[in-house]
Amino acid sequence: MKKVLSLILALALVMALLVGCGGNEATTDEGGEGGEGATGETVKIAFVGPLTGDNAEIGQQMKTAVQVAIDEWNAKGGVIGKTIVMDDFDDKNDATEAGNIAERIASDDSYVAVIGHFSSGVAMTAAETYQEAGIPLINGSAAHTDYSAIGDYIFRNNAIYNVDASSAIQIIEHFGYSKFAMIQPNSDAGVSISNVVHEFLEKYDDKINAELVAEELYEDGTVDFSAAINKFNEAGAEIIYTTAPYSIVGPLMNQYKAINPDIVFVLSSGAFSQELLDLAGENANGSYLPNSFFDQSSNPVTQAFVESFSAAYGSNPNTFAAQCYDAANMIFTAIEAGQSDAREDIKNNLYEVSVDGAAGKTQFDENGDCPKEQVCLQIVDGAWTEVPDVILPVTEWEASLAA
Amino acid sequence: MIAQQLVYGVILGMVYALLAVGYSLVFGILRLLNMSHGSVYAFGAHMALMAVTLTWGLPAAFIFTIVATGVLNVVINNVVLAPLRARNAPNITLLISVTGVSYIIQNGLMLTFGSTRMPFPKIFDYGNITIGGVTITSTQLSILIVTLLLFAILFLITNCTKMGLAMRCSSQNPKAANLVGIDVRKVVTFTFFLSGMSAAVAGYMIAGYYEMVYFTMGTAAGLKAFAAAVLGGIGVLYGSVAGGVIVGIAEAMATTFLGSNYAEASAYVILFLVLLLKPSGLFGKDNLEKV
Amino acid sequence: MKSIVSTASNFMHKNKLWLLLAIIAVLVILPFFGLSSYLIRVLCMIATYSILALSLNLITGFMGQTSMGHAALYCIGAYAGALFSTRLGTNFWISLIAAIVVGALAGAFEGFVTMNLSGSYMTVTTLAFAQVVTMVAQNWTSLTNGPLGIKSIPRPTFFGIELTTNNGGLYWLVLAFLILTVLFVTAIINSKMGRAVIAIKEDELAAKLMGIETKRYRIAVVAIAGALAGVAGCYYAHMSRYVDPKVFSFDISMTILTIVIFGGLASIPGSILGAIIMVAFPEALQFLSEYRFLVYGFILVIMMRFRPQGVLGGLSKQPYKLPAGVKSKAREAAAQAKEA
Repeated sequence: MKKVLSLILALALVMALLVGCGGNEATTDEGGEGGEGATGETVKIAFVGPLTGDNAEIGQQMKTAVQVAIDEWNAKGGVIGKTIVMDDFDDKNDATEAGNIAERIASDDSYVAVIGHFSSGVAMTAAETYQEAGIPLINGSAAHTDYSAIGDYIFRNNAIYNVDASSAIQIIEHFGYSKFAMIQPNSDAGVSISNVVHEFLEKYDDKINAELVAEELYEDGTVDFSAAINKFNEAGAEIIYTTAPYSIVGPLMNQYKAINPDIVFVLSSGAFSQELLDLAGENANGSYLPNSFFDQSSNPVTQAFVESFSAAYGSNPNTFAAQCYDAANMIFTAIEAGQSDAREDIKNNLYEVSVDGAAGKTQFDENGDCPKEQVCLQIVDGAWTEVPDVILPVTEWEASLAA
Repeated sequence: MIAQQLVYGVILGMVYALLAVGYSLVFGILRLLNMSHGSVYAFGAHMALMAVTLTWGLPAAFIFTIVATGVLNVVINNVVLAPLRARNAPNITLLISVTGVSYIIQNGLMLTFGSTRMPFPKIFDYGNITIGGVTITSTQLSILIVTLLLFAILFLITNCTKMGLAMRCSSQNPKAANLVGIDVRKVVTFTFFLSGMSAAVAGYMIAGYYEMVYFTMGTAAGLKAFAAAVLGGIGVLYGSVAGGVIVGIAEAMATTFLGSNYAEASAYVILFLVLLLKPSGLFGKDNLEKV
Repeated sequence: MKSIVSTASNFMHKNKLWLLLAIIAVLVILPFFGLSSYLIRVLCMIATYSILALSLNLITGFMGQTSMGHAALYCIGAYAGALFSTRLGTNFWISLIAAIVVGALAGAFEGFVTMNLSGSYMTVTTLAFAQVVTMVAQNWTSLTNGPLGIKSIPRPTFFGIELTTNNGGLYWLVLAFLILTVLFVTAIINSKMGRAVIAIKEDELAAKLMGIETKRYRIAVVAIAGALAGVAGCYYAHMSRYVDPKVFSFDISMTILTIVIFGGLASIPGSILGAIIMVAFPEALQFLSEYRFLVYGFILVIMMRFRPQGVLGGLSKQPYKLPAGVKSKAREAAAQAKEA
């Protein structure tokens, strides 16, 4: 008897669940039938990111940044007279979950645009669905070269791999290091960037003095790097280039400096955070980081954003948060510009408008990419400082090498 | 270079051994793969961080961590597992329950402490020691010493105390142990406390070694330590040390000769091969039927 | 209340076939109710996990060997299907056959290496097997494209029609796979092989002494499970159109195992119900944001606490059916009692 009872209970539970998640869509569908795009008094966007799991804090930061942008617009009276609301979804930075969520968002007419997804692989899986459904997606963190080629509804506000790689090589060259080593994550991002570095080194073989002496790919979740460090040391590396997030760079620096106090690091945007300074302490000093966002920049937009973000979140924003903030502003500006919150109009206007953002001028090119200019930051006495005139934009740098 | 890599491998092995022993202790008595141990270890590290931030001083912080984590493990046993055992639930059910517990602890930690990686003060930082071209930091040395010390204590408890005798009896045959007057329930509770204690020591030491604490710290390390415990022969104390050291050296060697991307899986390749040749692990006993 | 439940349960047992047909009919026409493509996709994932759970149930529920690495076979099936479709350009059905064959071979290998193991060591060996499979997928870049994964896998087609979640095609496809899997597993369980496998679960030594070639059966069962996981993997790869090694992590292995135990060991409807619950929960709990896996953990613990044998698990209360022609004293006695 108990079995039948528990079976009935379980079934009832499932029904309730399915009705529950289907229910809110039914109501919004009714709203949608009232008139295309006229969803009452609100404009609804979706945010997707890793809110739980290993990358949870990055997702939380990105979500907060988008919320900050929404609050600012709503304080000014919303966009085209409507209040902006956001629904957030957790994809755990997992391709399967992201695929499910993408279907869910795409099949709900009330969403006008999507911001988020963290890593390239995950974003690219979801992007196929958004492209088919015709809903604009702006991602603030994917660096994969093929990402924006998925379609015209797919935008990104982040530096592409070749920008990162060229900046890193420029830093190594500028400060006169001759032997460098790389340690990258064994993920789509890490493998791609390592390929780009190799391409540059081969292409400008005679122009680049620095030599790549050792290279490692680490698996997600690694905390012990002593064996890899020993390998680098034996190879005589003077400077280490890594695109690892701060959570990896922190322990890497601590372990490396305990063995070789003279080592220097070149990092990338994933490591740009206060947490790195907390984790690595003195060991972080001297490290370089090319980035398109600097929270202490004198730019008033950046200052205003950093202030409202840290009030909402409790610490300063990272690069991806800033880029998601700009992405949100791009969407709202595009809605204002076209006086329409229809998905297709937003897409078309996104190619037209530009925003003076927290992470520099934001404007999409015909591919949906945002050309990013990077500055060289260095950690001095436990604080990020700007080192001017180190990095040229990729095209200019390549031109100077080719000359 | 090889000698240096071997030393690093051994130290890493000690890290795994610290965790592996917790799996081994519980398995020895209950034949249960306690998948929540990794999360309990993360809990221990967070307790240690809390105690350190409140500047209670090292001894008090250490004792607080051990007691809090031990109590958590006892609670898991008494609230979640004991009722299931009382109902004679299949062991595989217990496996799913501890997986659920693992979710609860990990996400509870995330909600309480946040999802950032938090710095933890380095332990025993007195510079490096170089012998014959091989460098070892004082922190690494302290990991080695503490692990061996912990194992010595556990060895004494299981072999020289009345409780230890009861543990070994219950491990061989719980029913018979009950018949000769051993309170098996008490023994199980004590074992869980001991396992929690080892997780706390691991949490404190490993957090101090890598200088950080975060809520998912038990996931990857826990699974690999678990592999190490099985490799050495789960349920046997020195098997955990042996398994840990083998896994550590295997990872160091894989990094040296193949690259870091092969390190992660080398533990499992060795585990796979060892189990094929000796199904009960290197030092394991053969009569392990339950899951 | 009790009498209502017992009447309902009697009704269910008497009209089992009709009920089943009715359920299938409802499932078939489900996409016509205007479900969003998201809900269809969730249903597809439920069916995929049902197939995986049925496949694992053969090993764990019926044969009594716990595997914590079932994602390995799923992964191999998915990669086999994806590689055939993208590299060799075969259509979905050829890729499916390839995935089944490769899955079965991988299963046979896993069965072969674990045939002497039991209990925890079997469990851990399967776990290690899965980790090694993921490592191979991650590092054998020339074949699997490594961590970059395989992208743009073509959707399955049926007589030239592309099957999507929008036209419901993907749903009917996986529903057909699921129904075939249920029939197949039922047939196996009721065959000589099924009885041998259950004998292995009850007492491997006794089974061996009765003349059952236990090792051969153990290999065969894991190979069959591998073939079924191959179906699920190939379907998944063509539905999501992207696979990378991280998709088939340890978490997936645990989810499949949880479904089997949650639904009930050795219960075919249990595996399906378990999949419904385990897939629907994390989706339905989306509104909880960062709290959802905390709640998920509580659900696992509480369910196991109050129903350790799973929702549909436990011993069947139905009388054992003797093969036709065999007379049972008990049955005769019952018949006489009825007449009297």
